[in-house]
Amino acid sequence: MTRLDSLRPPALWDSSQEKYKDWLHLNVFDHETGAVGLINASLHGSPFDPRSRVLGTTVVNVPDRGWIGNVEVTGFDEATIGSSAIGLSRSGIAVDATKGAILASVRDSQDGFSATFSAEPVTAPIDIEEHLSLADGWISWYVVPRLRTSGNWTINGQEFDLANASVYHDHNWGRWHWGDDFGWEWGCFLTSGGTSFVLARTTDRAHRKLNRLSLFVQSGTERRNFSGASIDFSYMGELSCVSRRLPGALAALHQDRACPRLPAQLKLSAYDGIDEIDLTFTAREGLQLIAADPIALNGFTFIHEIVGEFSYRGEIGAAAISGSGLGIFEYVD
Amino acid sequence: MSTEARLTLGEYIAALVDALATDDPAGFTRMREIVDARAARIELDDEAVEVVFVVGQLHVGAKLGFPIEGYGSTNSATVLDLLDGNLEVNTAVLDGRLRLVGDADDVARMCIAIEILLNASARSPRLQSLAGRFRHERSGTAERSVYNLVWYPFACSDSELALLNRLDLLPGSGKL
Repeated sequence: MTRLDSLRPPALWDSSQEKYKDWLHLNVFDHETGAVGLINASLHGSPFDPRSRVLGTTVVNVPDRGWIGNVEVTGFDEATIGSSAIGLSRSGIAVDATKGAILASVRDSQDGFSATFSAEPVTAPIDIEEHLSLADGWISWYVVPRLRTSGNWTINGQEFDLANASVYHDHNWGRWHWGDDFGWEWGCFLTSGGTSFVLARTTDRAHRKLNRLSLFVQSGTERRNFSGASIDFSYMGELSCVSRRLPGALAALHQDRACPRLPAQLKLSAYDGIDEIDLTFTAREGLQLIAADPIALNGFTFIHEIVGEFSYRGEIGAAAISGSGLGIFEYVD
Repeated sequence: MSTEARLTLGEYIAALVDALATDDPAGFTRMREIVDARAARIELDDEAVEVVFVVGQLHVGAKLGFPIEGYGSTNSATVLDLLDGNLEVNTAVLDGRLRLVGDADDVARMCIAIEILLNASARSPRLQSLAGRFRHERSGTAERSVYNLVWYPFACSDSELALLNRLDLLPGSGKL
């Protein structure tokens, strides 16, 4: 996050304020254990409406142990919201806008996951202030593909140092109601050695209308951006099932979505005549987050987080590159 | 919250329906129409109450004197596991941790009434607050455990499997 980036709450006279959404998001990839963490603090609805909610999503997927953590839901009045910080009773994310450093804390002993770490950007941010169409609304985002971290997390009582972990950060904000006719596909894939891939496109809810796909590649100091027809992106196979659905009360309401169809593998080839990347992501396990709109009746969107491993090879700046790492892919409908 | 007396099952039910009536009047009306004049018995741990709408007004009590047309039974640990997403409803039912008893129509109406409450909870801070209070009051006493149900608990015939396979409804049978 740069000095200019901060949460973007609506003004009191903003006629679209009830659609307001804003969040700070982190993914932590612990290459030593294979664990992938997701820490997200989000604002849903007008800050001036008592129905609006603040969510803290703090989960980690550990190989052979599944998803650990939970979702906390609270009101705006019960949360601590700063210009670039969101704090709930069990988790918080704060951005030091002068340095771009991010501080994260999770204190969820009841659900077996706690963490305290800071992360500093290794790469320059990607700032997309443009209002990207999302059903009747829009979304904007700010991405830091890679950060280095110091700190630790504790999973079911076992503490792990995060000194060698890789971190991804983004900040999204916009105007939409959950449950509107939209979806998106997003993924980030990070090696331990310094290469990062970020993939994203918005879609309609059925994923039949696909908007322009973008792939950002960061390899050392080299950055490339592929988009549209220069990318061939496909799904293979089917993930057997999501192994956790949160929050549980909304999962109980949507039993028909207990087994969504999700890909078991992603294949991505990007070539723009100069640079080239081939990447394969293999899913390990899925999580379904059910986003309920605090304002719109029957406004529910299903956010599927799929963690796994990836490998890649290609050529960037006339240099051959290859490697493997951990990734997360998000399928939203 | 911690200084308040622990709510009883009957007080929770009354508070849930009251919050629904205030925050989602349309949902409350739908609940009254779905439930109509049917009386049900609800059991949680060692508490049990009977519930019925009389002239649109909820009555909750240990013994109301109406013929019971269905009952639901569970425990606090199951409710907490459901709220935390550690347990799915179908698993809870198949595993006997959540029992709904009655004619098919009565059971379906009980499920719809629960769905109306859950649906409203996404937009009702008061319902969310009650869920938080329940977690606070019961998490210390409820015995939690992880359940992994082995499907199917009853025999599945070859013809049923063939039908499900033909309709692409078996896990792993389809292609994206």
